[in-house]
Amino acid sequence: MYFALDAGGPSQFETFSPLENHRNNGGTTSISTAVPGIHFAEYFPECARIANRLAVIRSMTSKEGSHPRASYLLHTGYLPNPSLRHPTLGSIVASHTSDDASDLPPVVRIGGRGRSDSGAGFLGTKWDPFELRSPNENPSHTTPAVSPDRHMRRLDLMERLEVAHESAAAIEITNHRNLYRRATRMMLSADMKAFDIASEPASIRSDYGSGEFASGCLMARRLIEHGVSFVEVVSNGWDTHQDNFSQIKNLAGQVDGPTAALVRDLESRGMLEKTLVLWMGEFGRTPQVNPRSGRDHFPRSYNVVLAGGGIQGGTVIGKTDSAGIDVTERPVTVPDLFATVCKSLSIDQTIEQLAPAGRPIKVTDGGSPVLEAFEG
Amino acid sequence: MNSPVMASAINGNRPFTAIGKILHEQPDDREAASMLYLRTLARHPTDRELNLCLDHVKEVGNRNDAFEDIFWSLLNSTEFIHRK
Repeated sequence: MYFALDAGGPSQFETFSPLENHRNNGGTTSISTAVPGIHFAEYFPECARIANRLAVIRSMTSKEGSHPRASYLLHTGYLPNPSLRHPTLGSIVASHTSDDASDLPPVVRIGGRGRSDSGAGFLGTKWDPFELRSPNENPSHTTPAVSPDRHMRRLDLMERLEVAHESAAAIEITNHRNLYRRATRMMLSADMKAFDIASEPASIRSDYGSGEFASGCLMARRLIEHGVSFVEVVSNGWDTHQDNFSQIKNLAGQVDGPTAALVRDLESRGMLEKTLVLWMGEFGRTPQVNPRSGRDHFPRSYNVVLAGGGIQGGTVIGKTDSAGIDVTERPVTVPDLFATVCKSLSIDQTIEQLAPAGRPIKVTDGGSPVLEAFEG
Repeated sequence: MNSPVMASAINGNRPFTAIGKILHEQPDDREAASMLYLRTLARHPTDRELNLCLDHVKEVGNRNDAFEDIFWSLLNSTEFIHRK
């Protein structure tokens, strides 16, 4: 599964839910897409060309308007709770779908800032995302400082010494040992070439374009091909409290082309049917433009986009009133979105996973899948 | 695990690293292993640990390399990472 997070809260109006004939559009015009009747904002011409592959949910709604809480909610499907750490979507998906056959980590996050609120939580270190700050450099410290043989010799010695110690049964030692084994398996693997986007043909590279997000999307496809279950690519800077329009123009320019290129590339390789693509932020932005030409936080109605993984392209789900304020048709909550992801990936959303102290936590916090988003 | 800083800090051939100093000043393997434990984990090795270290030195056949391995193992151990 591929997941793009536009951190900061992208404006729904300047992306996939343009307001037509209302002053709240702030001057953003809408453009027609490959699907008659569906319009996107002017900043997304490439995505407009592949609108027949996309399902846009324009009726997302939640109550969380602060970055940390909303980011936690959209990553985990649960509200923050001081007594436990919920697993992030990538960790959930990987724990249910990863067959452990790949030498690479099951979850990779590209371009994030190491947010502590979105790890594997109570699922344990095995499912923690492997964080890559930039897709334009190799993962750091993945070359052994000594020969592979000598590295293995050291690893064996370390394990023998740890087992010899009286605290050997401690969970920390088991986790630590598994992590070192896993890291060693990864860095000595031929699959490390998946991180090398420079080896892609020039034609493919130019389809994706340049920039961190473009490189992240290309790397995501390579990682998925090499058995990674879940890749998250983060685009930062969408918190447009001022100069919303010029900022979005710039940000959309980095995101629009690569997103469309990824969907096309997955399709041409026959991977789109098995790969769910999800684009979202943590909330939307206020319909009224503020005096600094910005839009502020607005979780009451916003949008997400899905593609692949059995999703019916060329679909728009839900709507708001003409001012873009309230959802007037088919509200979709965050648990509904998570249930939709589960349905696409054939994960039973009612499975209970055990948090510390044996507390059972379901995969999703209730919610029902958005059935209209799927192929008939 | 692999950082170049770590790799150069555990180089036993350099006189100014902790391990280089110990290996130079302490010809006895048993004493040298004990000092590495003290330096990293602030305790002496148990008999079992000490024997494992001495076996490793014998097995590798190169005193410097073997002690670099031991130092690496101790610095990467759960005990070193978690002990406060």
